[in-house]
Amino acid sequence: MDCRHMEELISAYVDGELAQVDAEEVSRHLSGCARCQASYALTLEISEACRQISQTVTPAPAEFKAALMQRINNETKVKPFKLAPWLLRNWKQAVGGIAAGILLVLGIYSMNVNSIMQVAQNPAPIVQPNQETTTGIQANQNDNPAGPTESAPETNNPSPGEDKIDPAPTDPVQPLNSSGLSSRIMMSKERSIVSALLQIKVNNSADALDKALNMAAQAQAETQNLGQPISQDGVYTALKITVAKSRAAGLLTQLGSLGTVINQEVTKNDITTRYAETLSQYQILFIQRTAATEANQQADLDQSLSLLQKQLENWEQQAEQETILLWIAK
Amino acid sequence: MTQVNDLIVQAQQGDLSAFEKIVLVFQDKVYSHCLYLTGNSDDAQDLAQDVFVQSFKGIRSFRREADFGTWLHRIAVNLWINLCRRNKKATVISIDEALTTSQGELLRELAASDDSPLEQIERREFSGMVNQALNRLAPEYRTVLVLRDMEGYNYDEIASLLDCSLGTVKSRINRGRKSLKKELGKLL
Repeated sequence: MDCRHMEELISAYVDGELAQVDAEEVSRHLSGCARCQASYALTLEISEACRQISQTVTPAPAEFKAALMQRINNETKVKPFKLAPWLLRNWKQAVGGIAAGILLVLGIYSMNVNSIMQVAQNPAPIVQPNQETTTGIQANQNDNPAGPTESAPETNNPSPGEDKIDPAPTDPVQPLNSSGLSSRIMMSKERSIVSALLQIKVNNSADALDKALNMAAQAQAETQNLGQPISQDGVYTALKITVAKSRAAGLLTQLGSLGTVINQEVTKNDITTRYAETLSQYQILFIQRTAATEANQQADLDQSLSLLQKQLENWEQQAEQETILLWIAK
Repeated sequence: MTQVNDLIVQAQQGDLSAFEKIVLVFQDKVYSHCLYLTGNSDDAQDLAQDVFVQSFKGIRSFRREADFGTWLHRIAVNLWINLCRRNKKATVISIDEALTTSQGELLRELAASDDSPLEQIERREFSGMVNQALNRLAPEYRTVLVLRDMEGYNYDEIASLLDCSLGTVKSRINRGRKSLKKELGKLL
């Protein structure tokens, strides 16, 4: 074996990583080659120097521990809720976006149900908010040759007062009642979701927060402390207040008196059309549900109806209330 | 060591002050180790911080039959290898002088030996030069040499740590040593 090839093996030989046969060959070569012996000796010396270096302990810089503990504290601490400046500027759009997102999820979920796909393929009857129940039923009769449907809800409805839909029907699937449906159509009216942003400046934000909570309690409002969001103008104390529409204006005036009003914006989101459309969808599915004979189809329809009903109920609830976002700045 | 074990138990229960005491015990060792791996004091401080932060986050998973120092050591090596992988394309070659840090000149106390004072000085000088030469190597060579000659890992272990073949490890160590000898030649 020549010296050039030997050079390749010396490194592994020093580390004891050569196979027995190769190690013996290197050993033989080294005993008769001064050049390779020198290379071997230098490799050994370097390895030894490295080992010595590794035994040396270099003190960590004086500020090391303090900086480290500061970092650990920062990383383990719960960070305050921070709103991006664009979100502060466009909070209305953001709230609208969230609502649209929920609707989209609901829509996508509903679209996955076969029964809804069938409805979507048929021309849906247009249901006006003030239409009577029978309109929807009659409109669907042409699409549903399975038999008379208008009487089915009543014959299968021993308790007219009950308007809840079981979201996860058990076997056997119970036919749904129509009383909730009827009442919803009768209840159709203009619906809007109102929210207000009130930004005030005070001397003592803790004191102002206490007073705001008292005012909200007197107005029978629900409150949620959102902590201290950070905006481009500094740190605020944020409180979300949900109050009945009839008491909202009075409460808003009271809250404004806590300090200097920096900004007040009221946003009204008219959901009348969306409510009517969803109600229409609910009606059609309800009729399909009464005619459904297969258990899995019934279960699918019940699930879809449950989701739509929840959405309608949420809108009804929101339409009766007003949300106030109170921002208290020092 | 019993005291360290007690501190570990407390830290595992979320006691931050106990962890702070653990840092005090191990910070010099960990920092030194990171200095060998990175080759410069700034990166060594960053890496050492990462090691402790990582160990703090994972201290509940530490089984006390192992040595805590070795555990920190492994964390350092793994973090360093990950860092090298991330910066693979940026072929940074450290040109730091090995024996200086932000704190000034390093005092290196070499292991006691039976050498004469003159031999000790020569050996110390040689070690200093090896360290400088190491810092001038490309990271892939420096890493394998640190793992082999400083950390004492065998080729199989290095292959496993670096997630590469045994042949690659052999070849890198061999080339790394050749480059090191070349750099030493410039310093001598």
